[in-house]
Amino acid sequence: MSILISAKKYDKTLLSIVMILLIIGTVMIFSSSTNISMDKYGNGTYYFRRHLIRLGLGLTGMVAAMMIDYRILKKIAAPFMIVTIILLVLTKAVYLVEGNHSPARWLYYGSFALQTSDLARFASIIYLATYIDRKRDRIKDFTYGFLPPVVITGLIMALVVIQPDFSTAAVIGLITIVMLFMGGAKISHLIATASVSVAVMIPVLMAAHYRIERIKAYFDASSNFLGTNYQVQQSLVSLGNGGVTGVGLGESLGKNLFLPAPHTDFILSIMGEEFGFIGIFLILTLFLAIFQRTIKISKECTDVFGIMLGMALSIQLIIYAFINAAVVTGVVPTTGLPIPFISFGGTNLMVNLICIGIILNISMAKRTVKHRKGARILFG
Amino acid sequence: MTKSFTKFRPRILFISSIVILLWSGLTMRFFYIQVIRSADLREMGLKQGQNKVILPSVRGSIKDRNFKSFAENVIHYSFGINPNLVENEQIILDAIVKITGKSREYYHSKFSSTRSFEFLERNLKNSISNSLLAIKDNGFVINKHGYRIYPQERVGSQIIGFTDVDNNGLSGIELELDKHLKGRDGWIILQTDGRGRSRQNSGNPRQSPVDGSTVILTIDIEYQSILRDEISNRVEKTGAIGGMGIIIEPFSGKILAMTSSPDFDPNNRHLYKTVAYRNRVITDQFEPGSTFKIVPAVAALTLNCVSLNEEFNCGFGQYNFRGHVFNDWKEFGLLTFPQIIENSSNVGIIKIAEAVGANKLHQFVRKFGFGSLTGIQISGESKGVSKSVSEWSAITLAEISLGHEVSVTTLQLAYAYGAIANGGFLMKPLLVEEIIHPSGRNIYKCSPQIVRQIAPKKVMDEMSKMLVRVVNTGTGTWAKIKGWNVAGKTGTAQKFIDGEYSKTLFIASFAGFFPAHNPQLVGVIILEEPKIGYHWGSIGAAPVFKNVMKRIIQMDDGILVYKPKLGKEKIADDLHPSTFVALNEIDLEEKTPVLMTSVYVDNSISSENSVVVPNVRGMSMRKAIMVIRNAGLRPKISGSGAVRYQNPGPGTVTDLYSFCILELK
Repeated sequence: MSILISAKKYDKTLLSIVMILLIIGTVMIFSSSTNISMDKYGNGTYYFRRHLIRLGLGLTGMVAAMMIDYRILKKIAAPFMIVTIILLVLTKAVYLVEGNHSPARWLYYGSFALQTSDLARFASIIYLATYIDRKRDRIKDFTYGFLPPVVITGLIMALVVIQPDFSTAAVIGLITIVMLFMGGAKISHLIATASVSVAVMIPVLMAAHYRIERIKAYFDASSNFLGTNYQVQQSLVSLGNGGVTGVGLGESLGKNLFLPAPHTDFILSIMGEEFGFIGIFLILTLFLAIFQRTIKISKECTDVFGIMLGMALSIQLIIYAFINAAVVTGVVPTTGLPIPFISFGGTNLMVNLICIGIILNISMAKRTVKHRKGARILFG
Repeated sequence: MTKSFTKFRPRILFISSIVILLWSGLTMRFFYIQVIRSADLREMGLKQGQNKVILPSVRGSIKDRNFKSFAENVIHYSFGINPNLVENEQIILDAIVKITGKSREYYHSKFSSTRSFEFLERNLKNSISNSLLAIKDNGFVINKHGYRIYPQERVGSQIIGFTDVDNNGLSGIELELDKHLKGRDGWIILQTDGRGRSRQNSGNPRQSPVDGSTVILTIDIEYQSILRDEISNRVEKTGAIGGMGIIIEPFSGKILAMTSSPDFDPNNRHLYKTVAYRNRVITDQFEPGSTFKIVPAVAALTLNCVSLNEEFNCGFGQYNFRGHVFNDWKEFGLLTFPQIIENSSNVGIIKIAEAVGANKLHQFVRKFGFGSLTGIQISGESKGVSKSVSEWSAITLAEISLGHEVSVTTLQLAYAYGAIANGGFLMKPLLVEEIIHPSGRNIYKCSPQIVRQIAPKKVMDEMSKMLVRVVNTGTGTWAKIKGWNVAGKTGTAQKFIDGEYSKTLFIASFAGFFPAHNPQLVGVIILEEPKIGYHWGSIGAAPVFKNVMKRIIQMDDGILVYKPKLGKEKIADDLHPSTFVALNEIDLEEKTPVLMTSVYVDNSISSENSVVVPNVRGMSMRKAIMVIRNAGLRPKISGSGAVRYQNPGPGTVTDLYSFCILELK
């Protein structure tokens, strides 16, 4: 009973937006993965079934996050960070010992695979929100306020970069800058840090062959609208083929023949082909709506930690969504970042749903701020 | 707005405006691509489709359960180049010139092509391509493709089916599992820019083909060849217009062999009539005749409406059932239930069917799977005909109990007998053992599936005992295999042509399984319109079953494990032919009326090695032999007529399989 009572106090609009995105994502994964799944596994529903399992796990995680008071995260921020660092080191170590040839992005435990970089961005956000909450008056001080979080997230980024997962590291960097900016850090400090980061990242970026290729392909596009990156070309052709209203569910040509990874990074292209500009506009607007709802929730939050956490979690979702949209339209080089709630991808979907669960918990907290009766019944 | 938020408000507002800005930018970008440039891009997409070179995948092979090949591919290679990426032109030139003998200039022109892909040579045989296959070069494209061949030729051809020239499955497994066998073709895009020149490209737009999966069938090529061989020989010998046969495993429901005659060679299928393509075991339905008597029998046993010792007056071969006279093939007098089955008495089984009743009988017909699809993994299956009780005429009950007014497929018949063999379970037919993806992963693995339980094990065990008698001493003796216990039932059905039953055209059938105590194989043999003389299920079809199973026993040592370990029985078997011959002669010579006395024979008294001798005094020879045999003794006969003397006498306890001397007068 108490769960139902308190469920009324969650932000239902936000919950509905996410549910719509999940439904769209599920339909799109089914539509886009049948062919590739048939190819690889001789079974058209392989990816779809795996998606449903992960969706189930993710929703369970979300409900759990909704029910657990988010303030607990403040207490576990530090240990969580340490565990994350250990896991990151372990991922790389297991990879080095076993000598696999694929990137060391996953840590396996039995049949369960954990993408540790996803964990890292989550841990960083909680840590930074806690840090800003505690040190909010000294944040303008460079040595004692500003530098420590920069060093810690820098370490995390370094561990993620060596996996190698450059894109996630860049997202963590971006979120760090945005959070410190929100938290009141001096603009001069931020600009200096950003400059140094970029200076460090360029050689890292150039170290890997495939990244140079992607970037070269991007700049090579100047002479031709389509550019020379094959994936992006196909993505643009798919999007163009969709037009305003799209070719209809399941009718995409791109997923049949031309577009690699149609169910992960380039699912938005298939979406654009099947549902046209209208479909894409809906998706982009839903992500904007998530952001708008979070601002509304933050406005009524009394707790600095809650404001920072909620904002950061929704901003990182927006970053993922917008970067992915920029990639499929050829605005930025190919990154390998999925679009939240829609792309196929296990850990990512689960972490994103837990993020939403936390934001929803924050939304409940402000409504029960006078007497947290609901929570007490739940956990008392 | 809370106090805490106010402090952060300016900076959060700043971030919001950036987010909204980015959102507008992206929306505009999508609008530009999807609305303004839509027509251009769509055209580019179409062009791209036209410039695609298909790299065909190699079709998967079809193998039997021991991985022997039913369908294979002769591999040919095509070689092509991407002139922009070729690293070592000389090596490739040397190799190809050596193989084809064409001039260097011919190939050289291709290397200076502006296109991003050129075929050098297509369809080179596997055997001569080795030197080219060894070349490693980024711009050198090797493509493998296959032409279908069927190494087993006629064996299993109707199951396997065939493909068209483009390697699309047209019938049989080739059609049914086409999507798995086919794999997926790859492609190469011929890229040119607006001015028609090829572009140096970092990401080679190419998708490798994915080869088809390998299909493993439950069929055993050895079994299949034996069955095909025996059936086509028999069809020839008996002058039949066609024959069908199937062998299944009763416990798993796997089909081990399935053939119909005439058949065809898929390598040269245009030489044969299309009728021969048909897998008639599953597509053709016919009236089964006496093999169908198991249905009323199992119904009666299950419902307990007839006792095993109850005697039926078989009216000396005639029975007027609701105004219609049914005849027996012989003038039987009193017969017990097992004897009715053993001698395939029409009158007897009609009486048993009457005891079961119309509704229950129909229920059992359906329970056995007649009148519905078995769900075998290839299409084209007939479900047969089983009229509902409301459509029955006055004599339908009798007709059905004799296997008329119903139509079945050979497949259905096999699974019905399979259910008796496995203790009552109607199994789903399995034809595909597994499907293996080229990556080595198992896409499909079959597992036995029970459709339903028809009757309890006890009933089916009783039924098998009766079917063993059919083969040992009844109508099925032609199917007897020395040293083995075979259970089975013969069938001789008149063909139903133009609204009446033909007097000259028959369908002879035999359905059986062995070893009876632990059945490993179930077989059904059907001969269509054999010459008169061979038209009996017993003389026409039963020997095929025997020959097939004998050859399987000789070929497959695995079966020997199931041979009954009864040393004594071997002697008994040696004796059987003589007694049987004697029995036949006597039956043919004299039509002795069966005396209206009966003896209660309790088989259950017999402990493992000793039996109680029954009283057979006064009985006809035929009946006495049956009673003595049922008791587990061997009759030794002298004279003819009714039994006058027996030794050992009634009630004596004696050894199992010992002799009992009968004097007749």
